[in-house]
Amino acid sequence: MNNNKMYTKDEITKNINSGKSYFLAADEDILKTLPKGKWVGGTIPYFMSEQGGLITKDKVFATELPNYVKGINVKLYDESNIKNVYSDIPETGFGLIMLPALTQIHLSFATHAPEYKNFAARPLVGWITGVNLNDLGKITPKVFNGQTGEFSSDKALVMQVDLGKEYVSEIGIVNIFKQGSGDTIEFLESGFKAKEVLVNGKKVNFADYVQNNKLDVKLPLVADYAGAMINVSFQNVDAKNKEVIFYAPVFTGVKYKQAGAVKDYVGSFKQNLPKNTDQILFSCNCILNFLYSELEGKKTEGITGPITFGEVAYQLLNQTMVHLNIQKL
Amino acid sequence: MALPSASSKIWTDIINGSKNIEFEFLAIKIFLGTAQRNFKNDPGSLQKSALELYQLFEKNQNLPTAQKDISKLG
Repeated sequence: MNNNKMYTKDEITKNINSGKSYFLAADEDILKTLPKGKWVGGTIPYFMSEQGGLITKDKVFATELPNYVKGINVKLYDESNIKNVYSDIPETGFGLIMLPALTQIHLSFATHAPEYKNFAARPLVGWITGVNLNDLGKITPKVFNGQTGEFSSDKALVMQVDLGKEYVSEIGIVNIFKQGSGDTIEFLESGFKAKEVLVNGKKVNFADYVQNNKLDVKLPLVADYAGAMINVSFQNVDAKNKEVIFYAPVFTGVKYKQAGAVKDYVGSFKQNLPKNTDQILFSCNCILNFLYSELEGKKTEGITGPITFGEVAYQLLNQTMVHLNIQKL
Repeated sequence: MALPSASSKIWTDIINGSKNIEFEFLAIKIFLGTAQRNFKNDPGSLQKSALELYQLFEKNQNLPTAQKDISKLG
């Protein structure tokens, strides 16, 4: 599908006014000025564009919804109703979710999504909205409902898309990281932080372990979910408080191993791409892949989208490219 | 191949790990990652997770990838 493109503010304004439906990603100064219409948006200045990795506050990344879409509905979620997020998705469609980074709704969804009714039963794809890293703490990540002009820095926003019975949607991931051959790590508590952990069954302080073993924290912890490699990225090793902080929650009862090293992200990405890339409606990739693999100016095989503070493929993921495919039955 | 009934033993066998199948459908993999973890932490979750796994297949059985996975259940 050739429905993903970067636009100037004037170009996207014209297209919104013509009645087209969009998922948008841009700086908040642009999103705030767009006309009302059939769109949702999230804040981010990092993109994988047709020309390669790009950082800009002046353009909008737009995913245009195909004209066979039967209907759309936009809903904001807070902590009282986020548990309904999967059940609210149309039976013949999917949901596109955006959550502002570093908010309670982000943490709550990340930790509890697997407990929500109908978890994974219907496709929920999306991303964590962010800001330029230089603006962290100065401005907040946001989500926008283009239908009403409403925006929020503490609620999740979902566009529920009904495809009807002729089309089906399916979420895929491209994760170039695999479990390495090192120690097995198990966590004693679920959450975004860890102090004491089991390393090969022996209780140790994880911050000490990371430092003593000189772990490269650019490489995520990887769990094997029935064959799907699910990453949890390191955010910080707090030597003073002797705790390790992550960008996604770790869970008890799951065996993690640190990923093996990846020398060439673009090359590995190419090798791991699915065959049916022409069916991709939407995709996003992680800012850690963008930064650690220095993707600015580099292309990822024509796969474009926002570069995000976290990816959602049913649940929160890290350091993973997520894509939503549509196919006609 | 038809989807096994909700009461089929295969659903509990998959959750408790006594039957290992390499699935392709990401939703199944992610669901299983959580359900098998829950089973480890609380064996009493087995029947509920088995029913949810059946329902996940039932709701997605028109999807080509899910159909491939259903054919592996026999």
